[in-house]
Amino acid sequence: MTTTVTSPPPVRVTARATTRALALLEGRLLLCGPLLWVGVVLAAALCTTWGWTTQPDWPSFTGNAGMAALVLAGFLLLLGHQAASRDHRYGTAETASALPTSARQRTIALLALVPVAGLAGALAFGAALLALAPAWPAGDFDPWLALITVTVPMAGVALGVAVGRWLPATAAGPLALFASAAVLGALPVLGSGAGDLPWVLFPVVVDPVLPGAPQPTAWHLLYLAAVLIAVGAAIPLRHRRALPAIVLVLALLSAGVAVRRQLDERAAAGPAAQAVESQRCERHDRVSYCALPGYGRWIPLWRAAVEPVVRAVPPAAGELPAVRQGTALPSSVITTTSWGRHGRWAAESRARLSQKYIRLLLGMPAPPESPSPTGAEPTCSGAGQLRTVVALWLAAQADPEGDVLRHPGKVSLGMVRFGRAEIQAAARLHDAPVPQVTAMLAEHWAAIRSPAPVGGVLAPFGVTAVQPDGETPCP
Amino acid sequence: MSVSLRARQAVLLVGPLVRIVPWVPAVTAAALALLALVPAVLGARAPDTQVWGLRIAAVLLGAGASFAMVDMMIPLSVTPTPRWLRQWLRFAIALGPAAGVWWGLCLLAAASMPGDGPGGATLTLPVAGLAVEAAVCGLAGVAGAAVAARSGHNRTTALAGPAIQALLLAMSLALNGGWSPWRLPLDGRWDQVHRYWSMALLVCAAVLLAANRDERSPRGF
Repeated sequence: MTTTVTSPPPVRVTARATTRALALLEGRLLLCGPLLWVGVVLAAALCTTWGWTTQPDWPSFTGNAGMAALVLAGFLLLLGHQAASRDHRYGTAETASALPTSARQRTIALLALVPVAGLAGALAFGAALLALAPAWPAGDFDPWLALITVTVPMAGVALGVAVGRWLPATAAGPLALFASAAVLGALPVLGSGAGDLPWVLFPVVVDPVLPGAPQPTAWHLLYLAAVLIAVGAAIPLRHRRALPAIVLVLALLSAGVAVRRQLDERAAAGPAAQAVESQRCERHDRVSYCALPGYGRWIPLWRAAVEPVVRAVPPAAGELPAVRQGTALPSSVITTTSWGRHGRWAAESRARLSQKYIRLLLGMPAPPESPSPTGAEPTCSGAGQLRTVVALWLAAQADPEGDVLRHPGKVSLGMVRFGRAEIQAAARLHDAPVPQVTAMLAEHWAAIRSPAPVGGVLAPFGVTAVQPDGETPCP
Repeated sequence: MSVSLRARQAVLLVGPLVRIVPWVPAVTAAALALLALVPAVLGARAPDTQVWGLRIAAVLLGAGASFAMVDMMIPLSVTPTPRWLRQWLRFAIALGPAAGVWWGLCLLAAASMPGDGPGGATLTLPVAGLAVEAAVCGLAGVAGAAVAARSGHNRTTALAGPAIQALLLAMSLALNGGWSPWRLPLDGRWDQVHRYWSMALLVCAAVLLAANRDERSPRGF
């Protein structure tokens, strides 16, 4: 018997195939590591915690998600450094150099960590969004801001891999992490205003630009993408190639252009007027409520604060002030893009708006728009004024718990100070039937909207001893 | 064992330990900590930049010192000195210079403070409170590495220290608003928050005490 033994033909493995296989392996190793998932869960939890007390809206949600993405990027920086310094850590750099795959191929394969990091960022964003359920963010969705939460973790892992390739010592990873955190933390401290260069360089857009006003978020994302490409190009640059160097330079130039354009567009952005034009108004019970685009679902929340006040106002009062979001005209009350979500936070938002509405409705002096540099706010005395007593009664009407008069610290009438006598008088009105009080308001509405003294107007309610305190009376 | 014998052992061990402790991370951390104070020296907003610079410096110095806590030769060595003595010596050798650098940076930050603050009040750094914060930020890393060093003896063991610091820092960010431990000196809650920082320092010290204690004797010896 004759046996012929033939050796199998040699398997041809291309460099591209080995790099792809290595890339898949690196991606799988990152996905299977527990630390990545700790980072994802922590990022989602932080985003949820930061937004727990306020009604969700897209600007604040994407801001919180961006800051949480920075934390995730920190985890990924460490993981990227661990992956890139594996040879050095286990003392196998010399052994690996004898393998058929070159060091450059292994470096290129490490770039697979970048899309995996993007996936982790998207998962954290999605998890935080799910945690809002059944609520959904109000306002206009800006896809560029949402993409920041994907780009930032990608930049984090790319930085980790770059540091690992250039400085493979074990301590380099954590020290690079803390140094990056220090640089990022210094940017907001160095920038004094939202449009300053340090704020524009900060990866997350957290400055409160009014919705409706132009915001160069697409340029900001382009800046982040350019930084990501620059850091990514620094990884293969370790192997002295011309292409990564060219890409690095081009990416840095693009980042510079994107930052310049952001600064220019912010400087050119018109302030309040555009925001007023973009408001959409609804009229309920004699009051117009004007919400910024996408915030229409908050109008019932504002109505809950304003309608208990309006119900007590006589029809003779004429046109009532409107409630406008973001920015206001002189005859309207401004409400912000922030509102308490539940419990005491919602109650505080309700009380703040109703008391602002009462101040404007009764023509009380408004506090200055910018705080005093010395810290002392100007005040005047509302003691003995009919308007002060009625304002306190209206504040009590707007408080479903009814404890405003028991805890007068909860009432803020702006510059107007008041004393125990006014609170007791308001409590007398509160104890009286509401129709009797509203009839009194209808009869004396003109006096109530002026700094007139109480006089004998409240005598039917048993209030007689409310006198001015001798200090500067409110105009 | 008498105290004098332990003291003699400690004196004999200092030289070799100074040689084998990894100084590169510590020196790099010190250099980065110095950079963290650059904005303050350049006149950025006070006292925010000084306070945040000193906090970041403490985290960096603690991370650098963590690498001194791992004895990579312990599986191969039989020594007449107990583990607690060697670990506390490592701690002192790493933390002494780190504390010195932080103190130097603190003096630099104090010197960079402007003469007058808002309302004409003189701005001064609350050094005692900042020192407690710095001790917690630094010791959290060293304590984390010391715990990991009880069972791990390789190059990555010490990473547990900076990882614990990073995790605690990230978790502290969840305490926003009135709960935040990161206060500025003019904040009304500075003293109240620093009582909690002092408690955290006690926890770090307790963890270090537990982590640096002797190993149990192997069964049968």
